Amino acid sequence: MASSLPNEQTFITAAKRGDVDAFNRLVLHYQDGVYSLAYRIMGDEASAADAAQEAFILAYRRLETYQDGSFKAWLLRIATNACYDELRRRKRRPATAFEDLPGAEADDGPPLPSDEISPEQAVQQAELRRAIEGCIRGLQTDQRTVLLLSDVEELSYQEIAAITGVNLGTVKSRLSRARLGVRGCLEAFRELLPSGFRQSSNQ
Amino acid sequence: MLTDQDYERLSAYVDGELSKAERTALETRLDADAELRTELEAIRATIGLLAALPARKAPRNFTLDARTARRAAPRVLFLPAAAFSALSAAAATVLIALSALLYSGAQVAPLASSIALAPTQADAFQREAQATLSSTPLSTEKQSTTASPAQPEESAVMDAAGSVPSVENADQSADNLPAAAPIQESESTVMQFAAPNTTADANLAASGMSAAASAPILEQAAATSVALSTATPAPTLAPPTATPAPMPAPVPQPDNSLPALLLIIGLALLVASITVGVRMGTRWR
Repeated sequence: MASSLPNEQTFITAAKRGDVDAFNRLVLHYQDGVYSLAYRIMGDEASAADAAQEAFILAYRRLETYQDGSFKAWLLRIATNACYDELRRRKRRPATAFEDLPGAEADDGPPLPSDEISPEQAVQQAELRRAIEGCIRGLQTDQRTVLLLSDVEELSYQEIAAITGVNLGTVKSRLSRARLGVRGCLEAFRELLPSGFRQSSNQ
Repeated sequence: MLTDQDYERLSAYVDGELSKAERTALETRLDADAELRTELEAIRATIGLLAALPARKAPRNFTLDARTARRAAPRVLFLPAAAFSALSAAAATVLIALSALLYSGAQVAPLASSIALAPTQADAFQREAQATLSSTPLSTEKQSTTASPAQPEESAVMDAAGSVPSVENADQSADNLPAAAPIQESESTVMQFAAPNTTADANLAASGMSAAASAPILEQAAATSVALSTATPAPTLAPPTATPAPMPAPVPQPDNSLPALLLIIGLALLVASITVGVRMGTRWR
């Protein structure tokens, strides 16, 4: 997720006073990150978009509760909770099984425009992204969330513990198991992996 | 073969989350253990892949429009509004119920009280009337015609007061009081309470009383009352009669203004409660 917005605190202060435009500047800056996290927790675009929108509405509503520290971590906490709420709702209505939802194999849309890569490379990158996301999706929800917050969003153990409501030891063990799980899963996509990963895995 | 704890230590080591002692111990092992080093590199590579995972593009903007923002605005007023809604709904219920109670009570109570009070009031009036009669030439004789011609009403009433009930008398009453028939009818009812002295004076008093109780003949009751009070200052009457007659006046027309007021306030509160409640409902997603 993108690093913090320049003059972020100014926008936050204005948004707290009810300045919707200032809040929307924050939304535009963080929406890809929030949506990405939601997509990877939820597993499908529609649910991810719903959860992301809900997260921003909740964030605006609860802006007063943001004091200081990382705004991004605060926002991701709200997004994570919005996803969990949605997952809980879905569990209560098991008509649509989690596994049946459109996943990595569905059309993910075109990869993000990237500089100086060939179409072949772009296709390969898209496949790798799908592979990684598929492996993440294969994890249990608790492990998946910790992995995403740590290795994708690069939050600290402390922040992850605060977001997920577990202690540091639990964060540590969940993260370790999640990393092992993803690594094992990615063995099946060895040909897509960068040389560094192949080398270490081959040994 | 590495244990789960080994993997956890390696994972935390990459993140710089080990204590100094743990880190030193692990580094010593890493120097000697090739498998441990391999796994450490595998973890680093995995983390590298995840960190390089490109962000997904949001399918649309999640910016808030003014309406959504208004709805999402921090609702510091939520609790007070909820309390107001609940309290006003409760108050409305109580007021409307009270209003209904008072209204139905107003319809029934006067009749009931007139019947209950009739003996007492009739007796009181009877005593007074008898005092009047005993001190005046106007007695059982039909002298009403000699009374002031300017007061036909009075004469009619005094007539009734001073004579035994007769058909002629009743007719005369009927002439003067269009609603005499119902009065006569209710007279008999009240008469029972006025017993044992079922004299004409009691009769008169009772007629006034029961007239008051019956809404349709209130006008006539008032007329009777006026006639009587105008009769009392007559020079021929004794001083005690100068006091106002304890007549229909104490039993006024059923007053519906209080129930109506309560009903209006109750309905207004109900509307306010519903309005606030609905507004809260639409704002609370």
